[in-house]
Amino acid sequence: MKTLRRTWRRVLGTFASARHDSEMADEMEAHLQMQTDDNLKRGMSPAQARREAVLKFGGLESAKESYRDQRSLPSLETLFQDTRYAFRSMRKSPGFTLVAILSLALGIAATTALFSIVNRTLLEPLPYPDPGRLVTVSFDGAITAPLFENFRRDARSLDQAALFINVSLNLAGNLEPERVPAARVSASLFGLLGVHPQFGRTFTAEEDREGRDAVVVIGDGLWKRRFGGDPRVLGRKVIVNGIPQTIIGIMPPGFQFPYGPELPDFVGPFPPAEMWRPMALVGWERTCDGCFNFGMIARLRRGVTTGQSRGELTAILDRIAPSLRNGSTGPGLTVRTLRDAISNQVRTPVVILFGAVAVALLIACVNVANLLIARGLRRRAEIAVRISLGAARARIVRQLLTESVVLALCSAALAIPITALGIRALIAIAPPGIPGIASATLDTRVLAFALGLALLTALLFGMAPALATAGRDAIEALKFGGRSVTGAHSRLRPALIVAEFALSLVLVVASSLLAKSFVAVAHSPLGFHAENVLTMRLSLPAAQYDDHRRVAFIDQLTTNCATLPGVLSAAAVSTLPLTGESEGWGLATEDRPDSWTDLRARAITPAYFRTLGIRLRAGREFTFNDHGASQVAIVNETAARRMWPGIPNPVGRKIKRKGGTTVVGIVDDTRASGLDAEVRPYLYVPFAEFSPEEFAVAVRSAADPAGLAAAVRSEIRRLDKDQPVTHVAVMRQLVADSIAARRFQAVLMGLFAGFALLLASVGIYGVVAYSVAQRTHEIGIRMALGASRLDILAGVVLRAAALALAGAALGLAGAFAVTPLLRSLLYRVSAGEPAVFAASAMLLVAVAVLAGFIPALRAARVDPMVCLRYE
Amino acid sequence: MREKNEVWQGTLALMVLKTLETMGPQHGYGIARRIEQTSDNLLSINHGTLYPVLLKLEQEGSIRPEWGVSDNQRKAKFYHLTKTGRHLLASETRQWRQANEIVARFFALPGGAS
Repeated sequence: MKTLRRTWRRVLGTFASARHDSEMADEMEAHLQMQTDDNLKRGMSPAQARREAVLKFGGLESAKESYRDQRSLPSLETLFQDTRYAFRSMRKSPGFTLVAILSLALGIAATTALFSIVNRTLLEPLPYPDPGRLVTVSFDGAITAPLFENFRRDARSLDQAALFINVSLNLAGNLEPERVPAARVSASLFGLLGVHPQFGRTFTAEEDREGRDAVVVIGDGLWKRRFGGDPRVLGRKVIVNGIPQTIIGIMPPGFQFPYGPELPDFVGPFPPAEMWRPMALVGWERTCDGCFNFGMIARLRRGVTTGQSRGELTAILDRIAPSLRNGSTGPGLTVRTLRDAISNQVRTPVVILFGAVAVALLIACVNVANLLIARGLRRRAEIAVRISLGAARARIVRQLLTESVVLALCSAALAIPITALGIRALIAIAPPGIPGIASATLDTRVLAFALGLALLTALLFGMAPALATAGRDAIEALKFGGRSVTGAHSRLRPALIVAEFALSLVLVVASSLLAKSFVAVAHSPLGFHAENVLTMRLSLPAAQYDDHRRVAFIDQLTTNCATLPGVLSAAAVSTLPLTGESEGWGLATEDRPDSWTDLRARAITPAYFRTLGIRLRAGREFTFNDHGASQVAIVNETAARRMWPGIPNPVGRKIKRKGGTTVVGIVDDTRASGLDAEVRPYLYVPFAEFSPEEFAVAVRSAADPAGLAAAVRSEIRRLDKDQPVTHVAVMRQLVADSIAARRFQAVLMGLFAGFALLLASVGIYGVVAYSVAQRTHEIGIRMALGASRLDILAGVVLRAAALALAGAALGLAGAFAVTPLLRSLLYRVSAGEPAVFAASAMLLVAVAVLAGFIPALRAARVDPMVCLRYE
Repeated sequence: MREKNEVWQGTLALMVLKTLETMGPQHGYGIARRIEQTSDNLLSINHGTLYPVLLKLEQEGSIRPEWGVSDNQRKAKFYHLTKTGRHLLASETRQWRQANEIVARFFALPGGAS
């Protein structure tokens, strides 16, 4: 307590020193006066009296000094002094200060912003108890109901299992009709995940049966938005897809299932489900062996690994469907933890981006180190003078240290707002489909880490020259005016520059590869003509529309739309290209009845290929006559090749299906889940065959189709005013959206590479400029001896180029080692593409030569007379 | 060196406190004179060393300074003993006596006081 109080007073004393100083002087003077008075009384002469008094006092100045030390905290006082001095010296060299602070701040900000997002989307634990035991089970990306049933019943490695599928539902009943993203889930799902509703209950096993399932659980968001957060909504009836259903539960905020990537064939963006219905499999779903439409989630028995579980499930699979494994076109049976399933989707791009940022931060640190060393060298003379005037070595090191810390702290202060902005910017430009990204906030732990790194750099490299200079060779430095300095630091700086260039090259190569892939994807064949096509989505729930009525509606709508002014043709399709894979059917041909192909099915109207501009390679399109009994289908090129290998034109061949389906046409491939995705075999059938509740309408116009949206909507309204229309977009936009993620990666990587290159060129400029300044004298002599200005210029530029070349050589090796990590992100570009490597290295050297040119010009302008006279 | 100084300071602080207790408020010069007189001039201190001690005591809250006028009409800083100071003095005195007593017992041992 006593000590605390005293320390506090001393801290205070540090601030009010001037006033206290005069008071102390007064008090001591009074003391001397009184002593002198007494001495006079004892009969001394005035001079002697005063002298005796001073003697008795014992050194006025040393008393004052020790009084001062007592009064304040001397260390604190020095710190203030050093800090003031640091700011002053920063103001004196604004260029250095700006570059150092900016590069550190940007480095810190970029790392923190990106890591904050990575942390939120990849590293944070799933909000379920014991998430390590949660796994998704799938065969080639999905599962069928019969497989699920067998696994659930027989697998001893699984504790619990649930089936789910994402759907969209029309929600109505005393409210505006709305299309709500939703999921059908097994009753066991909630218990399996370990989540509980905030109000009400979840489904019972009884409700998970066909005909008993008129219940619905809603999400917190929907509850607050549509029902005003009123708990009395429990038990209320709403109309879901035209059927009255009772709300029985409300999930807590933040509950998100399915998350997206755990869904079969997830391509994103997928809006999170806000409503859950019991799975309640209907008859045909229960028995359909080819319907790979569902997702399966399970909780492993304690102590069981995914590998063990996969082994057991494979054995079950071999027992019940031995032929299935041979027909696999994908990864076959997989058992993955939920975390892997979710993060795999985004892991590679984000991890690579993070690597890029880390390299950028490293470069920033190297650059600052470089600047600090350069400044340290410049100040050798100043430091030498101070040492010879009696400054303690520790005191000087401490002062330089303070300057470094001030520098790092300034960067930190700048970095925090930049980070906040950066996070917002990243969220804004991030491609859709990264789960949880919207809730990313500044991660203080990362910020602390990045700050620590910056501080460490500043300390380490701010102090190294201080230690060296403050050493015994101070006199040497003084003698030469700090000019002809050689030694460890003049070797360290070029080494740092080489490292900087090497790191930059790795980034430049990586970003060039990504950019090249992006261009390749953007120019890859679409298989359709995206210009002048307007699309929107619509759904006709089964409760109001049986298949027959739905087909009639679709035929009517497309016929009506085709007659709108400006419209060339109109069509409907179950799912548009680039918006996700369709339902899968396992089918065989009559030519090879035992070889099953996982076919994706699209329902279309006759004008579909014309409207989208998809080329018919053989055979014919559908006609309205096909909307009847005759079983016809059109296949894409991939399906034709895979199902009838060796048969160039399979038109007229039959697919094994109830009664046999005849192939009447073959069309070009279009990509379902992205321009860079693998093309799957597709089967086109008339809507009469297969009419999903939700489908898309597409209209081709002669000119810009955006203005047609209102007309098409009103045609829909004329037929049924209660059905919500969603996803109105021009096809061009859908194409752009599908490559948004790649563009995002390429742009971001490009930014980091540019940032790195900029820093590296600043660094090389600094080193060359410094060496020119050091060698002014030598240059002068050489010129006096007859060297031409060109010689001097070339000499300096070559030095810059040599540094860059060394960096490039090192960087090329590094890039060769690193780029294979990029492989999964590349498209039609090899990870070791020589052209990219060569061009990047050349760019680097060019930048270095450019950066070296300015100091080179200065060197060439040296006037030998002035220079030698200066001596 | 440093330690010795601290011991000395501690002792000096105790003397200052005791002086202020017996004499009432006193300025630095008065305290120095009194200490010298009390010790029969056996203890001769540099008056300058007194001030850091006074400052330390003030910072701890044991004494409180106040500007006043001395007997011979000089403006001087007078130090008052505070309540904290009295407590401190009492406890320090007790400790000092105890230590004294212990050392004295050692000297009282046969052959100890030679």
